[in-house]
Amino acid sequence: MSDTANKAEMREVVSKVVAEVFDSMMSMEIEALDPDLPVSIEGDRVVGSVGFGGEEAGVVCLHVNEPFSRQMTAAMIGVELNEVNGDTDVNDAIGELTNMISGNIKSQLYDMVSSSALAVPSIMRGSHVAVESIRAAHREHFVFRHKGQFILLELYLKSK
Amino acid sequence: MPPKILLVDDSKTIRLILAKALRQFECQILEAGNGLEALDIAGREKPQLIIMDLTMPVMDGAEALGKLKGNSALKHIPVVMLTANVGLDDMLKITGSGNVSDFMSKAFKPDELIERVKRFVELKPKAVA
Repeated sequence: MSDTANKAEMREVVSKVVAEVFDSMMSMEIEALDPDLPVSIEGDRVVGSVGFGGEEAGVVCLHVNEPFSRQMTAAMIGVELNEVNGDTDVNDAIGELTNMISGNIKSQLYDMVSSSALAVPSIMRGSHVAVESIRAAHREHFVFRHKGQFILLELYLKSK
Repeated sequence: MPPKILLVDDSKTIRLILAKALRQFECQILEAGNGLEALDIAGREKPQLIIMDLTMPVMDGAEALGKLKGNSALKHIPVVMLTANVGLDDMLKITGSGNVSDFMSKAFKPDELIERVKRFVELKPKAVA
């Protein structure tokens, strides 16, 4: 299969995985956008990241803004926005969502046979969060929208 | 007696989602944050069903499953394994061992969870007051 076909398949699988996770866990419909469009996530960000190993090794980073991270948490655990219990609940929910996305991308795209390791999710917060890859890593990014809120997903793959 | 169901996941979010779905029914919910806690609670409470994450700190789901099935007092308890990351080889190995009763992939919808649970325990809707 050509690199172009591989990339198209990868983009299709990743978009499907993210849409399924948002639908199943939060009943949120998301729309995949052209990743080359200039989209910015305003204000403080919450970024979940989970690394995976195996035949392909990489890291998945999920970026959303702080108010939307709270909406996502409320939708996930089925409570009102004002019932979300501070950063602890949000960190756990965003970490778990990132874990699901990472695990499903890995198992559907790169490693259907063996159960390779997933790292423990980690959370970063701040207004200027940027993930800079090492030179040996290849970056793909995906942009989604839910009711005016943007979701950025970065996939870093270590070159073979 | 309503069935006791033990939920084992290091994520509080996942335990909340599972518990919320199950609380529509007459059942007693027990919770553990890792496999070691699960073994302790299972030994004391003898649940009718265990829903357990595969990947957890302290003791993961696979190790806890092996210990449960090696305990004559607990080996009959059905275990539904939750995971966001399972390869075909491990799924075949674990299901082939006869130790795990079912797998459920993360992400999941609450309705899917209830259908899985009903395969192993009788769930009666809570009476409306």
